[in-house]
Amino acid sequence: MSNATQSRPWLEALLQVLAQRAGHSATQWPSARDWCWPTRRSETWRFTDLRCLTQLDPVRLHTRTASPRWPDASILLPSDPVSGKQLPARHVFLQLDGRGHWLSPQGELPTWPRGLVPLPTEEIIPGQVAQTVIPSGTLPLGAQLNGVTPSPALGLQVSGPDPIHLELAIQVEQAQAWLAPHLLLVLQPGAHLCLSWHVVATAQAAVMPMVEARLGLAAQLEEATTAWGYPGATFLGSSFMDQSPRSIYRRTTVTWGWGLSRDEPFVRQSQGQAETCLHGLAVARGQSLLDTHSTVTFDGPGGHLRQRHQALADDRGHSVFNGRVVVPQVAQQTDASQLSRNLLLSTSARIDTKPQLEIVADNVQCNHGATISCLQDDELFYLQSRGIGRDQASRLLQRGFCEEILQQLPKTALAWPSLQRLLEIPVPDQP
Amino acid sequence: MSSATTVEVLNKTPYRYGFVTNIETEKIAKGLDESVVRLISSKKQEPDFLRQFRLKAYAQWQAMEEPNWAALKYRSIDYQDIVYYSAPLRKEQKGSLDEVDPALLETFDKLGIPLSEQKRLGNVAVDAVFDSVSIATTYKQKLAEHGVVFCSMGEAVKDHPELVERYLGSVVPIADNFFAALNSAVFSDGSFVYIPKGVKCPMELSTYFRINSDDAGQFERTLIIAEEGASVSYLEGCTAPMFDTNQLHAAVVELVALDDASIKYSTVQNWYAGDENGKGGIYNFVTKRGLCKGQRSRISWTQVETGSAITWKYPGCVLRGRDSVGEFYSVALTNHHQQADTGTKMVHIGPGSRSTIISKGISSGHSVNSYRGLVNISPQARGARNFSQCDSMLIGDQAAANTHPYIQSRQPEATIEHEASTCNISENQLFYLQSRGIGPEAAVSMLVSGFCRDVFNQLPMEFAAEADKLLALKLEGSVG
Amino acid sequence: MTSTEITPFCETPIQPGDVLLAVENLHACVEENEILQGVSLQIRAGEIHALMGRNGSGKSTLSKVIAGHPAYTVTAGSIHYRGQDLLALSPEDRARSGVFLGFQYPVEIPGVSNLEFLRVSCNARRQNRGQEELDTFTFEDHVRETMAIVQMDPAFLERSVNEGFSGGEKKRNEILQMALLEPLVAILDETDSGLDIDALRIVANGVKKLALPTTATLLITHYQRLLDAIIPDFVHVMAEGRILRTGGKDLAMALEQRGYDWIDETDGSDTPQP
Repeated sequence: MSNATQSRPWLEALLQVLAQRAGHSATQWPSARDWCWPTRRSETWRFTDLRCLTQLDPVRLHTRTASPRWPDASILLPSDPVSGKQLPARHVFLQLDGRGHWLSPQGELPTWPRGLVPLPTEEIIPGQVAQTVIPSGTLPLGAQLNGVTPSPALGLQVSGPDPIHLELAIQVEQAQAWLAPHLLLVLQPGAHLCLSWHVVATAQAAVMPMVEARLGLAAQLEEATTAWGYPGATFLGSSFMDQSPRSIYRRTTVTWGWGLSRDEPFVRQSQGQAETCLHGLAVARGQSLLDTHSTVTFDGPGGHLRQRHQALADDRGHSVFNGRVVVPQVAQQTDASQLSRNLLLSTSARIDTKPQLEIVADNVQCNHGATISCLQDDELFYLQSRGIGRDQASRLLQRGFCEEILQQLPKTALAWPSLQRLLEIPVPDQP
Repeated sequence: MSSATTVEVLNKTPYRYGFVTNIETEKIAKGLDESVVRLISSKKQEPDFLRQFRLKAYAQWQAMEEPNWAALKYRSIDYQDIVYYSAPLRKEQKGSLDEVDPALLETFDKLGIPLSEQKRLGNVAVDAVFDSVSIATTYKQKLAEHGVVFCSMGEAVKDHPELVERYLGSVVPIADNFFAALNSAVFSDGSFVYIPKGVKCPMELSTYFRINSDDAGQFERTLIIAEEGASVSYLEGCTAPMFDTNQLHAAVVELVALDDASIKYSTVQNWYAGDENGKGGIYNFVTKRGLCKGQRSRISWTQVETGSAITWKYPGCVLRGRDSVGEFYSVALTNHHQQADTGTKMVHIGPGSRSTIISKGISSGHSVNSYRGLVNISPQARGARNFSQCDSMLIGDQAAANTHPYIQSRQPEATIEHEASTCNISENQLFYLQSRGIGPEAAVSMLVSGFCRDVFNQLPMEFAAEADKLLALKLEGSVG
Repeated sequence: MTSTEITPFCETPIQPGDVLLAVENLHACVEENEILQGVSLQIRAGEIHALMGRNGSGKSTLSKVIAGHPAYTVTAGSIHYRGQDLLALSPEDRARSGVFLGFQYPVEIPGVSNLEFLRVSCNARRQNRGQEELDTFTFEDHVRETMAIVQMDPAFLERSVNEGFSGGEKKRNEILQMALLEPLVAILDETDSGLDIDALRIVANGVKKLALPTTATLLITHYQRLLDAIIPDFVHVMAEGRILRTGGKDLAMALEQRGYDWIDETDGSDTPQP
């Protein structure tokens, strides 16, 4: 069991190593004593064991990455339906290199399309959006670790109504990799960005992306993440979205594999009147522990939220979901709904879900629902009665369950080979 | 009128039960240590097993911390500023009601619970508990003819020590939580019910709890045992005087149902809730749990919670028996500055066990009303099912409604469904009723009781009407 | 909301031809939008009026303002009911004194039993008329008899108010309420919309039975077909928050044949009030 006392020496060693890398002495760096390391006594970490992370050896940590296997570019780039020629590049493809920089697949510095401008380094202050999104709370663990890891940050300003596509890929193949990319996005009023993340870790490593975004009036951000990891790998994601009125934030996250994944999105509608759409799919097989803790806060009236989290737990897999929706008195006419749907397929698997509503406004429409069950017998039977074997029927139904979220992903995300692996749902153990 | 101005809580609801009875009591000095625990035990001339039970619990309690995870804010309780033993003085052992102090009989008359032989409630046997001490139990004789034991916990310790020793603490262990440990160390009295094998209890049993003292803590202990095939319906009512100070009430209720037994436990809780500024009122920290020990056993909790300044209460069921059934039906209404953190725990262990949770929370004024419920399906509970529905109604824009369901499953062949929604009293519903000649207050109360109907249907008939009236009374003046 | 004393109207006998409802130059708005822009209308005992017009012409608004819906603010003009200022009364007092609105979209009220609702409502009206309240049993007999008028199954009494009722069932429930409350002025807002032919006939028969020489009815409708079953004495056509034209039953027939555009084209400014 990982708890504060056992993790303390590990954390001290880690902070020392990170301080050296940053060229600072350990005394200038946050010390393990000031650190609020989660324990399983705290409500939000009751089910989530950090052993997978603390098994990494701080002394051997490195930032080496491999080249992602980009799907065939012709699939990625839309072409003109008449001429068949590729359209002018409003697409940017970037991959994380071994020094923490984002480069093109050819290893070159990116060329930015019109409407996408890098922010000057001095304007990229880590935590600047996070502080406004969770003003009173402490940052989640992933963001804290991201903050103490020296790594160049990418900051971009987005403008213009034509959608810009930004595809980011991280491929990790060597054990003990420790990657903490930080991305800051400033969407000008009316700007439209489609952001895709593809994270693959095939070795015992930790990936801790932190995304901060400020959405101006009527801006639109569509974020799609597919994250696949080897059983010994750890994913700690955190994102902080500050939405202005009439902005739209759509987030679709698909997570599978990993020894431990903890995803913590925070969304705040600073003046309400915005639209938030969160879709999540977690497929926990083997010994995977996949945890999502989301918080959506409405700080103004007329906000809108649609959230759907689906999890499938098989073998010894464990899925944890905690969805907080906060509707204070200023948030009249909020319309929020949240659904947690879970498939539990094995007697050694486990699902813990906790949708949460906190409301102080009378004229609102809020609801949530949660279900946990195995595959429905009548559905299985229906397929069997059409001549489909039980195993295949089971796979079809699992696939159908996943499909409801996968459909929300952009086509380009579906082309990734790692995702194809998820779609080929393995044959369950024979009884 | 907009909904904000319509439903403005200017509640000046009078609390009908706020009077104090002047009666001589025996009290020990404030404060708690091991000698106090020993003193309580010796005053009650308890057998050794019970003294040991108390001492063990006291030691446990000292090592525990007051829980702080509930959505409740209150001044911390000074456990040394509480009187742990207070009992009405009586000249001699009560043999019949004639020997009960007339002032006490009068008190219960005023509360609408006549105890004297001539005026008894129709088909309800009542155990009257005054400041945590049982003062009278009616219909004992008639119940005894059926083999049913219905008496105070004190009497049960004397007359049925083997049952008490066997079951006390078997459902709520002494170290279960901070308040249960405290209760186990210092509990005063309470009700004891034993229904023998195959007996359907011929009448409703009821305990009426009355707090009278302003500095004594209230620590009752209730134990109900239903043997194989037995069944009983039990109702608990509670009131207290209006004091500016807060009184601590930390009771423990344990229910045990063996094979095919069924226990229905209903509560209409109307402890004093404090005034409209949140001054005074009862701090209600109660542990209630039923053990469905036998196959096909059934335990059903129905609660109508309208009182107390603070409510911390999660009546639950441990569904150990195969095909056992647990139910929780709750209406919790908070007004002014009341805070309620209430819900249930359904722990499924037995294969085929089923549970149903229906919770209706109504928050108005500046109150906070939280549902907190656990559904846990353990790996053995093949074929278990749970259905939960938690609805909140908000009246006015100052009140809070929170929903915290904890849903945990380790059994693939179990089905869990949870739904939660919030609503308010819509302007259109109000207008529709008004346009049929129904005044705004009557309309609000009609809508609220409609909202609670699923739960009221579970209450014994005569109490359902009472509960309806109680809600209407509590909401009086909530429409501007 | 202003608190109003319940003034029991002494129900002095009404003579056919007495003015029951008088609307004068009524202006009303919801939020910032002025929906009614000077409506005048007089309804006498024994009369059946039909109010027609396009969607959004203000017909439903007029009915809701008469019934006292809180979302609408009267900015000018008056409504008198039997000589008394109706606008000074709360919605429930209007209902108790005999003004009835049959809703276009009757509201569903979960958990509240239809029987209980009807009894409380009916007794509120009876009290206003100085009649004694009916106890549960007497009322149930009374309501069962009344249900025959709209051919409603008594099983509906056990259900929650309008919850899960089909469109036709909801409308029949409205007519049942009208029959129980015995209003002096009944306003039926699109009671015919969404009904099949059988349901329409049942509803129309109910309305006809309840229309007496001492009461008045205002039918708000889009269609001629209701007016084939219930022949109106007067037909008003509304547009842009005003009554543009008033005529006899022929006007409704002309509208059916020629459409509302015809009204727009003709000058409706000098239509005489009958």
